[in-house]
Amino acid sequence: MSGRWIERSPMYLSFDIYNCNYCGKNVPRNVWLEEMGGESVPFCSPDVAQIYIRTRRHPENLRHDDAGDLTEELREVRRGCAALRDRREVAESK
Amino acid sequence: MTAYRIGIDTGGTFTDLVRFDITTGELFSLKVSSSPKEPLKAFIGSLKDSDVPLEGIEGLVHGTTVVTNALITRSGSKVGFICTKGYEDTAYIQRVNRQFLYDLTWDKPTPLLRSRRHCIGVNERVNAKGQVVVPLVLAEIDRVCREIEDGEFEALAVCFLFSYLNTDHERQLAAALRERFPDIPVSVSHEIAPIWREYERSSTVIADAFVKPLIQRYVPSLKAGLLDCGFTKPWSMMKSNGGLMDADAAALNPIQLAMSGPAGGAVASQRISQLLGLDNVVTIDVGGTSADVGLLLNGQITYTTEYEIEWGIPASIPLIDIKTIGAGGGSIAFINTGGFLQVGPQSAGSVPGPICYGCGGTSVTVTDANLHLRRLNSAYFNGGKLRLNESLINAGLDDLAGRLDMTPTQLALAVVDIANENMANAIRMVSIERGHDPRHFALLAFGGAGPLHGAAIAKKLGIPTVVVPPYPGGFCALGLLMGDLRVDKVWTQALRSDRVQPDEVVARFDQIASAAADELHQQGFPGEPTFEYSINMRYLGQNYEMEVAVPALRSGSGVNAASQLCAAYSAFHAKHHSMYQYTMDDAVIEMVSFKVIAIGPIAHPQISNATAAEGESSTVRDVIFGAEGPIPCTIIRRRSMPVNQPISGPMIVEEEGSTTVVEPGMVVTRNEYDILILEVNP
Amino acid sequence: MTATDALPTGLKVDPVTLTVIDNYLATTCREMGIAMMRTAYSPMFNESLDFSCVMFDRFGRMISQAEFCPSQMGTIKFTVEWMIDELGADVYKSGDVIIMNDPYRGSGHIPEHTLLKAVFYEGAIVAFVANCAHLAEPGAKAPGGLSGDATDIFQEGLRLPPLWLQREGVPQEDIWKIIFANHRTPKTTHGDLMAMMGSLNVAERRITSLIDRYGMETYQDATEDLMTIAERRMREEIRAIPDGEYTFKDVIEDDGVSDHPYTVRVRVVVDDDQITCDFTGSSEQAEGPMNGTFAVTASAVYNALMHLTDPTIPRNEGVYRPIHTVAPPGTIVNCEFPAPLVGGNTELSPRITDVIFGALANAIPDRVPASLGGTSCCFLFGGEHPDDGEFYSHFHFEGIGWGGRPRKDGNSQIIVINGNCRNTPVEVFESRYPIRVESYRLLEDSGGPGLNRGGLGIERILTMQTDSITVSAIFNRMTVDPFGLHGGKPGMNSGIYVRFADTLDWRTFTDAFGTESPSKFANLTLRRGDQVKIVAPGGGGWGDPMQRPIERVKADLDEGFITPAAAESLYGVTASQVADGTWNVTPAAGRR
Repeated sequence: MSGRWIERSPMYLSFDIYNCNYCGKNVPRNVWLEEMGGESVPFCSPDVAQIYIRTRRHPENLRHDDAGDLTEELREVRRGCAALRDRREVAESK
Repeated sequence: MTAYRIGIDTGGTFTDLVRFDITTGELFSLKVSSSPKEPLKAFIGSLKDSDVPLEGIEGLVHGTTVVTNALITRSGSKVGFICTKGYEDTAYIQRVNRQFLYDLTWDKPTPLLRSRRHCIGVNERVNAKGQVVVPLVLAEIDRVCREIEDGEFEALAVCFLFSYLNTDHERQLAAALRERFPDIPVSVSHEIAPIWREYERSSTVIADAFVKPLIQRYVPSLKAGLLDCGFTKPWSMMKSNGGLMDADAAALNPIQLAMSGPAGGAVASQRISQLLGLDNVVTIDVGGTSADVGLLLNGQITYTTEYEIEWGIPASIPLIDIKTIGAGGGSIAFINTGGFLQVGPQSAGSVPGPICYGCGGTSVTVTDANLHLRRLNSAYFNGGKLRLNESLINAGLDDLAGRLDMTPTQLALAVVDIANENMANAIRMVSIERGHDPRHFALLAFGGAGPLHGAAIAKKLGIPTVVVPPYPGGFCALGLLMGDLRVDKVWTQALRSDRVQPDEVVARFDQIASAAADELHQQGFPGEPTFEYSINMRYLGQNYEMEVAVPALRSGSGVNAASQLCAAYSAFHAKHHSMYQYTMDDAVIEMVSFKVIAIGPIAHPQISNATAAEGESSTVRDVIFGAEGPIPCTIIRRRSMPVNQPISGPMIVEEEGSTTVVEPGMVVTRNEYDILILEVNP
Repeated sequence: MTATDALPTGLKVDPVTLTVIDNYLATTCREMGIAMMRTAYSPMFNESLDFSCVMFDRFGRMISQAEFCPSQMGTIKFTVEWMIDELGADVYKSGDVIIMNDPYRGSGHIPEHTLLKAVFYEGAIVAFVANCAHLAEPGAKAPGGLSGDATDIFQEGLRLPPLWLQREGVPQEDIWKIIFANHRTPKTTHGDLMAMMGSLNVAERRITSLIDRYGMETYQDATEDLMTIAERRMREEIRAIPDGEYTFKDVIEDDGVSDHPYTVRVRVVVDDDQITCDFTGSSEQAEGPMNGTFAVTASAVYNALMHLTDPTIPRNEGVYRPIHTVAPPGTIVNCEFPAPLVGGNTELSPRITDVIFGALANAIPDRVPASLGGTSCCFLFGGEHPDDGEFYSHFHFEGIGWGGRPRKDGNSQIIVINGNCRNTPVEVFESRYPIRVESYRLLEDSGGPGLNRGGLGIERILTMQTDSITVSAIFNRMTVDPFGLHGGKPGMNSGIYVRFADTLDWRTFTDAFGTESPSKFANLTLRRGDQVKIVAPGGGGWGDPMQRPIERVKADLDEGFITPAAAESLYGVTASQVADGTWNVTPAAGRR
């Protein structure tokens, strides 16, 4: 698995929370982006990303009855990434 | 004819007697086994063994753990708790917090009461200003007395809300109870502990009632025993604050005896420290089961009001601040659930005792470890009265050492080291709580095992000097002879520094000082007492006050009361800063209580000059001090040691009742008062 | 497992030194607490002890704690991590003190302020020390800080991101001024914050002494080793729990703003030496202040698991490593900014602990107790004191009965599981506030019937002694009783009632004031002579009450913990009173 750290700057004029895609924790500053299926998915640390991948929550592991949930899972993942992209775009455009 | 003063200290295992010859200044001590079931036996027995002619006894002082033991073992009386209506569950609700987090098996402590039915609520009420809201009427007193009759109580404890502000209702009820039930002792909260916080005050008065019948049997039985032997003079007991009190008076307020035994040790420590000119001393008394740690600051004994009978059951009376931990010669070494070697607090006691006692003990104890390391002399333990069996300890040591992948010697060293660390920790808590650096203190070690461990503990803490007094095994008994008659009088009232009238304060101090002097005279002290004054203060808004000594505030002394109070405030700021590293200079100071101590001094034994006894030479045996293995070590009897001659370690000083270890690199001197002074890093 | 297996291996420091250092650090935390207790102004601190003192290494990993409030010691892990992350590790100087209370940055709720200090040794940071304390008056819409009907975080008090309270020993007056201007009782805040800073100084000295004694290398190796040991032992404990997935749910009955109940659902996954508590499926976040942030939820998870495993495991970073929390954002257990949440840390936290207990009740039946009373019975008040016109405000709470246990009854009247606070003595309470406490007593029949009975709750009656006083409340377990286990019956529910001066009837606050919820409201005015009755719930029962040995039923009757009616209907025992006040008992026909 591969990924990278990014740093979000603490913005006092607004308050954006970045939630880890596995556990939901709001991440203070250093966000781990895991490359999964071409997407950059945010996590609070690489270890937690591995847990996500190893457990049944990861789309690649869900190969059986919970196909219905799979769609929802993917939607969640994409939502997370989109949000992250939006914020970075907004920050970069300033 | 020779005149003597006698001190008798009864502990759980041993009773110590010290005999002081007033004419020659000679001291003599002896130790017998205690007889907890028939206290008279050991008490009179020790007197007889001391060969003192009873007509020659000028004064007898008794210190005892009988109250502490009754509290800890819960062997007291059936108490009726009389309180304000609506508060019958005070002793059951307690303070609502937990002793241990995360332990679902922990049980909340049970009160010293036998049943919730024994709590009787009285329809009366005083408010936070001391004003009566619901008066106590005769019909209500009658009703309460009828309920008490049915209850068949052995003792009564009375605690009304805010009685520390307004004592009227408690007084009224107590008078009625004492009249109608003359055979049932009554303990009243404002007489025993005039402090706020209703749970703590209730717990204290219940504890007093709990042990009152016991003490009211104990003291007369000892008195009768003394009379039988022909001793008719008055005698005293040592209170938990180190002062003496006539034995009959002690029976009126028995919770004051809760720390009676160790208090003797603290008093003796203070006198020895004064003799040596030492201002800051940590004291440690190590016996078979427990070690008591105390602190002398600027030459003064330190006190506390937060004694706990057990966690959650307080007795809030001022007593000498002694921290007791489960570390002693009989502490058991074992492997805990984490896989670590742990020593104590469980103890083998005196029965079965350490393995080497040969009474069936199988657990390795600190004494066994010390014996393996050759620091104890198996032929001379307790002056030869108890032979230690070295061969028995090998099996236990081998087994435990094997499980930890150590040699028996490594194990013995580790056991002693962990015990020393536990004791050092207790010392850290006692000195550090006050922000004091142990490196600026001396360590006074006594008890049977104190001098055995003192040097190593001092080294761990960076303490430069260890002092071993004469008669370390019976030091508490010696302390009994060094106490003075003492009466404490406290007046509780909140006064603010921005509103107080200094004359008001002086008038009140006069009042309680004269009441204290009167009580001293009643106890037989003929002369003019000396007085000590103090004020408990805090910043307005804080909840916890600090006691600050103040010069006497007396009318007619020619001293300006207002400026004396200012000096008191400065002392408070300074003390606050030394403990917490900050002051609030512009804040109002609240004075919460005012205390006068009246002291009736009694002639103390002067420690006489030491001489080196002839005819006994030192010997040498191999002793293990560390990983390097056995090294030759001088062994000497204390009485044969030359006086005022520094001797380098390693050395072991043996005497009846204790053993002193001087580690390699240290230097010991026996001074002219027969006090051993060890320099840890000469 | 033999004792030798239990021996830790692969450590850098010898076991004796490790024991010594571990005890020394825990003792230091206790000493910080003693200093705090003795010098603080609020009864919240000097009587109730509602604060926690914790130590961290130079990376912000927890190295020691003591017997303080579990919820604070769990959230402080996140608080300090955030403070160090957000400000950066290299901005601290000796003598700096940082303050923060933002729940969206890891604090449990706004009243809980954390002060952080870096400890330097020879110019380098060697540790961080922190004190997290619940200031009763944080500048919220309701005096006392817990606003039962808050609808967003801004109503819950002055929210502070990480700020310097002191730089290199110099107080940053502008920050202090802002805080004082926004708190109703600034003098109390001043005294309390000074006390907190004093406690940090105590720790600084102790850590310096420790390094003087053992040297930097041993100190750092020892703290790492202690984390390794704690982690290993927690993993062993988890391995001893049968692998599997366990589910349970319970309810937060309403949120003060709407009538809506909220489900807290957990799926506990035990996988060899790791455990995950997954709250997916819990309700969406609440409109009123019953939400919890991730830190609150994780803290409650740690708390539950620490109660079910060996309590002697050292409490440091290592013990948390095998425990994972999953809390989907936007749910009641991980609310999103700016949702209100002040009640989460006192009310949601024990509910989370309870659902984890419920889930594991069948996996480790010999360890799990029935539900405890599960609320702090928060009663807040404030106003101008009639004696001197000064403003006062206070957060009053009660202990509760704890649930019956597998081998014994539950303890009566103990603070809720996420805290370790003491009650305020009535004599202190009445000396500070214009309220009289008429009675304060254990409540018979409040313990849930069971083979092992739940602990008892209390009833306290207060009479207002001032012309005007503002009151608020946050209670739970009023309409949903604390559950029993294995056939045990629920504990009695909580309650808060008002009786206006010169009237006879006790009424709920909904009935008397029209509040949305009888258990959660804010800023109501009471007058002289009005009375409030607080009822704290009992714990649930464990096991079938009909199996309770008859002597123990008799003992309960003798002590007045249960009434004869309850003995008959719930325990199947007929009782008749004897002259001395005790009871004779016989099994009721056909019941047992």
